[in-house]
Amino acid sequence: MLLQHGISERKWLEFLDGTMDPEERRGIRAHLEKCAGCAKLASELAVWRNLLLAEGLRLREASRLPDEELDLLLARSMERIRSAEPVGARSSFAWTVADGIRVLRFLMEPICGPGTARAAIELAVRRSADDGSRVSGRNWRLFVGNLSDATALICGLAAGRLVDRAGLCLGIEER
Amino acid sequence: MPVSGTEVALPLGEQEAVERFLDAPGEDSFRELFRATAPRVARYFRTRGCDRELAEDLTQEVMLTVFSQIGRLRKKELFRPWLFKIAKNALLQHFRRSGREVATVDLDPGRHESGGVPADSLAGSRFQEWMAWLEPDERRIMTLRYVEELEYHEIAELLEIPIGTAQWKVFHSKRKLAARFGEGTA
Repeated sequence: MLLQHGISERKWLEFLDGTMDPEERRGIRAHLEKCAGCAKLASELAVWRNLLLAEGLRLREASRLPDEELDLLLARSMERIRSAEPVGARSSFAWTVADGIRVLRFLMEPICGPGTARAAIELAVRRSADDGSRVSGRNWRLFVGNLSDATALICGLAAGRLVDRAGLCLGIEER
Repeated sequence: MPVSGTEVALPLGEQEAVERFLDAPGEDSFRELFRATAPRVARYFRTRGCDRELAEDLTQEVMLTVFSQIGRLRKKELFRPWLFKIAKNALLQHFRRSGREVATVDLDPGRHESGGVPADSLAGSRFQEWMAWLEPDERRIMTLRYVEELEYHEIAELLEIPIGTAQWKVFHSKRKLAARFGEGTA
């Protein structure tokens, strides 16, 4: 019914959640004044939005973890972390960014060809680096994501996933 | 400089805690992340049929996974779906280990009982009564939206569906509820 008036489900949700563009919002308000069917639907949706929000809040409160239990849980978790592996040990060996990019290029070349691999890496560097030229340990994850997306687009999803997994497995030094 | 969790009066906001842990993974930043997110994880398990003790054990498993696997998170904006995926897998593993049915466990509140008595905090609630009228996939999405407070893009990422599908399901679920229970009389 309402969709015939050019208001999609997404638009209704945006209207009721208050996330809609003000101009669009005014348009829908004006429409509601003239269309009884849409006004009824808006009212139903608003009522149920409010009921669900209130019930969700009540349930969250009812299942809240008491502070003292949170403290105990945190203490137990920290104990397990300390008894497992020192945090510092995780970065006892790390690749440099240049090494990491080289590894990914060697991985990609047999799949995509050397030219495509190089072009995809250059594109991912441009998209990821703050100053347009440099990837560092801080933006390594973003770089891997962009390279994975580019590889998936050119060479297929499996290749993109391979690059993603390999890139994230490499520990990269923060320098 | 990392802030010690025991000296902070107010927990950091979730987003800030995530960013701090991503920037400087370590015990101090993990404490803040834990305080900001573990209650949400524990609630996830409580609303899916786990008693308090089990919910806390699984929460600990999830948070330790977060600590060790944070490097796999591609974008900080996707932290919450990533966190819930870990939680979902932990719950599935638990049910597999304990030999219980797993086919419908995925984000389906109110399905699991302990010793014949509903153990989850949704049991007997109006929310559960409402959700009983929806399809399983609609229940999952409505629970994620209104109990877990996930945004549509987070639901889409977690359930690996288009955002439009998540929105469509929420819209039509509300219409179903309105048709069944009327306006404001539920």
